[in-house]
Amino acid sequence: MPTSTTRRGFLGLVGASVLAAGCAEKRQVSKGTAVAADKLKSLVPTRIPFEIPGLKPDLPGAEFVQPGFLTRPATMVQAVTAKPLTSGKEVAAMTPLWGTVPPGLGSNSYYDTVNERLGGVVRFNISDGNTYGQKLSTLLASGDVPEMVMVPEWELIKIGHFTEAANKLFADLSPYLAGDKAKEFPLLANYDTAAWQYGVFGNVLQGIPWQNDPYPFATFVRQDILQELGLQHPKSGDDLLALGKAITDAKGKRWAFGGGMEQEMQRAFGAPREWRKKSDGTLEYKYETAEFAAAIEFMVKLFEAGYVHPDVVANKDADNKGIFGSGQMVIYRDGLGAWHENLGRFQPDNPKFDMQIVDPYPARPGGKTIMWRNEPASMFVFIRKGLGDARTRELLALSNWTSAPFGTQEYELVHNGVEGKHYTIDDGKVKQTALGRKEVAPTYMFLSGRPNANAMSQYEGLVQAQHDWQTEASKLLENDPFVGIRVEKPSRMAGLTVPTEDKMQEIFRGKRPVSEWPKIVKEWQDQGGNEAREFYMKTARENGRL
Amino acid sequence: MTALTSRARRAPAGLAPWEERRHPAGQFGKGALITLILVAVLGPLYTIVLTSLSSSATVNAAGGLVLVPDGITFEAYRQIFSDTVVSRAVLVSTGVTVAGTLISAGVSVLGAYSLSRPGSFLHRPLLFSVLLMFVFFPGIIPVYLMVSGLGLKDSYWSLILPTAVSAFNVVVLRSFFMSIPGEILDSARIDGAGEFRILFRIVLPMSKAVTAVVAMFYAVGYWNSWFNAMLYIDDTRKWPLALILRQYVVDSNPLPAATAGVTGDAPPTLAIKMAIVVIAVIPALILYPLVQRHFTKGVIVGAIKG
Amino acid sequence: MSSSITAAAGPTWRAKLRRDWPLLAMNLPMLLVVVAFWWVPALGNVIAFQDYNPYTGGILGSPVIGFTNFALLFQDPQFLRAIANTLSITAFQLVFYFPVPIMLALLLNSIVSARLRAFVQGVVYLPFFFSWVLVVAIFQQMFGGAGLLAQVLRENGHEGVDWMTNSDTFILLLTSQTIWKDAGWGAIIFLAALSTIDPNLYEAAAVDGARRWRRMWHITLPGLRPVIVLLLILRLGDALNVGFEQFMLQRSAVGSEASEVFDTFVYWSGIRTGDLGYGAAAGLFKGVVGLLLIIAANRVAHALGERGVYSRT
Repeated sequence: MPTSTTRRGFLGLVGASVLAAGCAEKRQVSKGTAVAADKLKSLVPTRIPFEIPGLKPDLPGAEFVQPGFLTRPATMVQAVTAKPLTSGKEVAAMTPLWGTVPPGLGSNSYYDTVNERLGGVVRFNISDGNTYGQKLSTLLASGDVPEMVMVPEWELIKIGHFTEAANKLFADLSPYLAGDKAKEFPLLANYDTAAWQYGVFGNVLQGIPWQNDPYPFATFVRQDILQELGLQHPKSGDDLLALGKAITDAKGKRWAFGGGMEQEMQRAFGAPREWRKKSDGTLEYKYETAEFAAAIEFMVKLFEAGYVHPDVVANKDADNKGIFGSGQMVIYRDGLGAWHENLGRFQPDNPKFDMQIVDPYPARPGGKTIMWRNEPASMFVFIRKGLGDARTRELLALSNWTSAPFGTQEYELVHNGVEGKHYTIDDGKVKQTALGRKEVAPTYMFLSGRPNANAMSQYEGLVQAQHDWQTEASKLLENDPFVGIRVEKPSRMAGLTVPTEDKMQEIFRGKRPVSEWPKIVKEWQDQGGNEAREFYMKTARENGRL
Repeated sequence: MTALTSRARRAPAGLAPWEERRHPAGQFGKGALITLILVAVLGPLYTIVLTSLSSSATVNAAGGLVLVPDGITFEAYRQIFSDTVVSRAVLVSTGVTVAGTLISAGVSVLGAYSLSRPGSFLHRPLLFSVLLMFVFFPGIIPVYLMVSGLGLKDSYWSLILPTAVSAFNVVVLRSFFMSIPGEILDSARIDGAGEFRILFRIVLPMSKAVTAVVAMFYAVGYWNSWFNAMLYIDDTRKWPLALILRQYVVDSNPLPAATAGVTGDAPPTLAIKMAIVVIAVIPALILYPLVQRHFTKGVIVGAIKG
Repeated sequence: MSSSITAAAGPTWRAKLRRDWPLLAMNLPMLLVVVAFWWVPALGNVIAFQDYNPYTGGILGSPVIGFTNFALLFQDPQFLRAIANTLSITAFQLVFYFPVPIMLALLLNSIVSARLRAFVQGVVYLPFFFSWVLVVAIFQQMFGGAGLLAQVLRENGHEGVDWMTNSDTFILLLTSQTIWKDAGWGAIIFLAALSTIDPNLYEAAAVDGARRWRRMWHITLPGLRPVIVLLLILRLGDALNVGFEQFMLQRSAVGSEASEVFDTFVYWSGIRTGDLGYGAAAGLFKGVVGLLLIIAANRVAHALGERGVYSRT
């Protein structure tokens, strides 16, 4: 019969159901989930700092400042003496890969060496990082998951019903890790509590977290070009406008700004990263704040004046790093990891290339400066459910082993391979060999996370500058009302983010008037923003945050 | 061979005797148009090839595709092909492409011919089972369940069978088959030829051009496909070239700060990306002349009278 | 479908089976592949009518919600804009893209020198192998605000131009990108069709005094007509498919008002957040629209005496 359904019949059916449903609603659409903070504490490991004997950072760390190493430690310590894999059974693990494909098991001496140290074979099912989510969602939906799976947060939010998927497919880790039980896995107990708490999904501890830096991003400048032009770092948003004028020279193919500056400006104006408590005790989302609107107005000025590189105007996701490296653009926003990445990419060919970080600045001179605090974890490793106690413990021991932080032999082996074979030490700097480039793929490091260290001493001055910046920024960190609570975004609200921010981008680019922003915010509220607010307020109240 | 076909073969030397002289203005216009088309394609192609041959310093200075040469280096190609993983993948891709193209072209030619006779038994349901493929698609997950249910995961069959039939190719073949004058087929039938004989002795020889084109469409599809391998093949040793090469084109590393390891003296990613574009085009350059050979005019004449 | 069998005058189905079994045997391999890897998995589209959750219910256990997913699709304020954009792009490209490969094939075919013809043919179809990312990047480097054209103009004291961010001319831009990328590839099928035209016809016509343009009109075009009609009908069935990546890549350049098409709309409104039922509903909607357009176009083709994609009986 389906072939005979007429057009009218079909539309009639649809129309009828629209009428019947009124405003269509799906019962199961994720309304978001959250776990109360005190409950969280009982689910996760109690933190026991792991002291590496004989390893003393040159620049001491603090809660939000990574310990800094100005030179490479002469000797590395062995953190785990026992071999973690004892059953002799192969471990199957799925990890993303950004980079070239390494030779497989049996023809890869890096794999052989690490597996030797582990006491068993890990068989990686590696998959292109760019399409990882595609494969992941297919495997999850068909229930066909390997023993260990690494899931980045940015893919996780694109998978419908992820919490239910995790609860159904992956093991509850609390029986092995909650509270003092984690003593059995001292390197896992070494993680930040906030990061562990972020691995709780629907009241169950499931993900071994990959700890995040507390700082989402910073403004970077081409110091060499600023110097050439005799210009200073911006101290406020107003300075940015002046710099834009001084730097931009379209004829000389040079523009002041690259992508992502809007987030810096939202921060500079003092808008919250997500939610903020209002004086009347309710929550407001960043879009709804006056600061956010002011940031939009400011960005329109940058775009209108033609200070933004045309490739970025044409594509907000343009290759900022490449444009920055060519000197066609001088100031942009990026994650902190971009710093050493760019130095490594551009300095070898252009010794003059000098990239510097800008201290957090306010929008107006003398204004209050804040720094947004990032999510505590950005990736998670899951262990399949139903493997049995012994196997689950064995896999946790494997994660424990790969969690060894900077300064340990395990860390060196996982990240660099074997000295003399995959890398050499030249003047205190690690230099990868051809074999290392080919074989040492990021694989074992994705079987867990680890506390970060500031140890890129191969780049002149980087460790010190990073340490200074973090020290400065850590004083300005602003907590949102949900810090320490894992809140899964309601899917309706998650779906609104891109359409709403696309409209904001259109305002920057003169495709919509600034005056339209309140209307856009209203649409956001009506289509799911208000609903999300209720959910967040309920969560905040349950946790005594309101 | 008739005089006409041999004349057609000779056509490159000039015009057929019955053709009128070409008008100089028209010739000039056509020349200008062809030149314009060539420039529009070769210009960008030139920057792509040039970028793939440029050093990291040149690429970094350009901030994008390189327009002005500044030294030539084969570093990008050297790096790609020094990788044993790549040479292995070339073998895998070649095998899958050859086997897949044979299977697909065979299945499609048989299928298209079987659908070329309106009024035959079950003609319409069978035709619609192909036509509706244009408008209704299965989701990724059910296909995955089917492939893994049939035990094809990590097997080369998973790279061939799910995409073995392209509705477009079948419909195009069928359309060409149906254009063959019915009298020819009828007379063969009267002579007692069976369907298989008609297909292989008459229809196929008269449809060399379209069969070659369809085979090329399939071959190009298999050579460039990576999605099925991404989904179904866990063992990287069985990955086809297209999937291996994708790993070189990573735009930027989304990983948090501390992840990135040591930076070696790797050539610039853009040069590698463009080298991969060039490598992807090379099989097409080899394949097309083979197909083009069947575009000679007068095939029908030759087939009928030969 | 049983009606077509009983309605057909002539041999009984038994006689037909006895006559046509070789055809069925030829069809079998294709049928097996298509059923196993297309139609059985396509049954999974029933989730369009469910509040589908693969983890708590699966296909058998998820609640049936009728047309709610479709209603969600239609009640989105952006839906109409996406449909309008998509259809106007399809209409525009039917006029300004569709004939280009045909004209290109005719042009290539008219090149007298075999070597030049082979070379030009071999060159024009190469851009088909480039990804949209690369095509858009090339256009940006040529016609963008920091592109070659803008720089040359600035160096000569003129204003720079930026053709990549004008939403009013976006349809021209994307059509020229499509022409550049796909026309050479699209011409191949027409070249194959041209090669099947009997050269005797040309000679006979020339002897009858038909000049070049008349010969093209009366011999070449009729020879190409079945293929042209076929591809035209298939393109109409694809009316709601105008591409995805090309629009995603240029979204910030021209804004979502101009660049939102059906596929990008569905991506943002449901697929990106993992709503599989919604995605299936969007796919089915597209399929039904495509089917109706194919049926309508095929009727028109029959009325004009063309064969179309399937015959009346």
